[in-house]
Amino acid sequence: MARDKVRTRFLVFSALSVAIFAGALLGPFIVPNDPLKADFQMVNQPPSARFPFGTDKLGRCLFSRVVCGARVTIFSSLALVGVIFVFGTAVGVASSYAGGRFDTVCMRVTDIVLAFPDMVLAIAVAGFLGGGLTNAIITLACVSWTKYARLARSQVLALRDQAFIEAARLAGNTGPQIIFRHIMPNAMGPLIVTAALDIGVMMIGVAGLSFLGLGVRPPTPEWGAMLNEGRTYFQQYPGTIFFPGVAIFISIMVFNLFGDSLRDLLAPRQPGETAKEMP
Amino acid sequence: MGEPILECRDLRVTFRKGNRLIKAVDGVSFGVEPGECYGLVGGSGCGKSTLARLVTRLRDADSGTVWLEGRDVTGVTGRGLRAFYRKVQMVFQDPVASFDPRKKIGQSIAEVLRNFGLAERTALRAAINGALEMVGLSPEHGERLPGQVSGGQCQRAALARAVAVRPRLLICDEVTSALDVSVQAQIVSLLRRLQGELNMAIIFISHDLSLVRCFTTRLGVMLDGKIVETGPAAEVVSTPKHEHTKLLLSSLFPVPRSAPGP
Repeated sequence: MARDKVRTRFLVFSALSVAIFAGALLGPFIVPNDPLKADFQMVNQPPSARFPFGTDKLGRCLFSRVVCGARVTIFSSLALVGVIFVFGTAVGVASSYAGGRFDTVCMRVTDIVLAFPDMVLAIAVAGFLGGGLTNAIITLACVSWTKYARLARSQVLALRDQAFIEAARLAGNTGPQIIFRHIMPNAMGPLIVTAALDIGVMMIGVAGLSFLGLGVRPPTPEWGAMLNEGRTYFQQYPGTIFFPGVAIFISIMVFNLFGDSLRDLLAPRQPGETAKEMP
Repeated sequence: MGEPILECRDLRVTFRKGNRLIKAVDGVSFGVEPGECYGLVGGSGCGKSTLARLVTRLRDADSGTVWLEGRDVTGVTGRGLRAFYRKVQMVFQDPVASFDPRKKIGQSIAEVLRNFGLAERTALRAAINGALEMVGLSPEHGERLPGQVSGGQCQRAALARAVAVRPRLLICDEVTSALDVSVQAQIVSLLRRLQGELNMAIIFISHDLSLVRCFTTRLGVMLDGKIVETGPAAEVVSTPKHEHTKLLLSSLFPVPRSAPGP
């Protein structure tokens, strides 16, 4: 039945996501070469037994750099999603719960941030703060929290006037108790799905800033920065761009499909759904 | 008449709908005696439910006051509000919607017992089962989600949750209108039994005069946010004074005598 298919899909993509996380975590311990060690005897080598993906313009092992770069790209994206999820949700919930002038101010600030194209604003903030991974994360957090605030606010507003929230008040719950026991658990579904789908978006953000030289500083391996380093030699040595590009492509695809399957899994069940889908 | 358990004085609420101002509750005053059953009838949109939510402090009135046992509770918040809900409870029209969809029915009842400190942690299960038993449900119903029981069972559970705190006043806002007729009768007789057992007052809000008159001691008839007629139920039904009461009474018959033919 369809429900089982959804569950299987979810399990497959969670397993793949976990595999990517595990690879990123364990990568530095299993790579054949030091990703930072330059060897000018071995510049721009094609793939070989010693260098599975070949080497870059400084003779560093591309395979080792791609595997180690996963850690920076993936975990900074995860940290970023965590930060914007918590911050944006807190703003949205507080804003809708407090209402009045506070709500208006919060939502106008959100509107202003939303009005800027994400990447352009991020580049501006990164230019102001300077390079480095921490600054890149702060930068991207500044421009990406808004959708969580909006979503959380609309979720809370939709739930606030429902009978079970009124019943919860009659049950002797205080305001914060209602928020944490009844509103948040019922509002979380769409927010979690958004967060899962955002992992890929944030990876593009981190890689994008690094590509522009505003993220990770060399020589730290990071996929976006590696694309930039390989850019000039792309025509003669396509491997320098191909391997980090494929790594970005595959991991974003896996995380997006994971988010999709999570959304399908959390989608509300229609009564009689099983009956309809019986052959 | 003794001191009323609950009294409303000149409650007013105005909604804005587009450019129009709608007086949903327009200067309503009434009192409920301890242990009595007060009926509020009126057509849809007459302000019954808004009045119920003013009385239960779920929304604030623009003006007017609510008094519980001689104390002004109009502005209470926090602790005071919790103490208020220890004495005043409410059951809603849609039983399934009045339970948190993610929580088992038993958990929702447990929450009430915990919040009001009515059961020790060790005795919680027994207290939940006792509450369910009181309304004719089995402990097994407490293990289900609100969507997994029938409407009638869910409304019984809602009653169990409301009376678990042993309130002095129970407000029933259209509690039977989401249920089919045979289940309606069961819920009404259950309410009667509980009222007798627990000696609580009831405000029974409904659009169905036939249901209200067989069950309440006094009733008030609402029209456009005002109580237009009030008195002992038998009297209001036998000698209606206001046109709207007559209209409601005439609508009890399947075909009014004056109705034009097809």
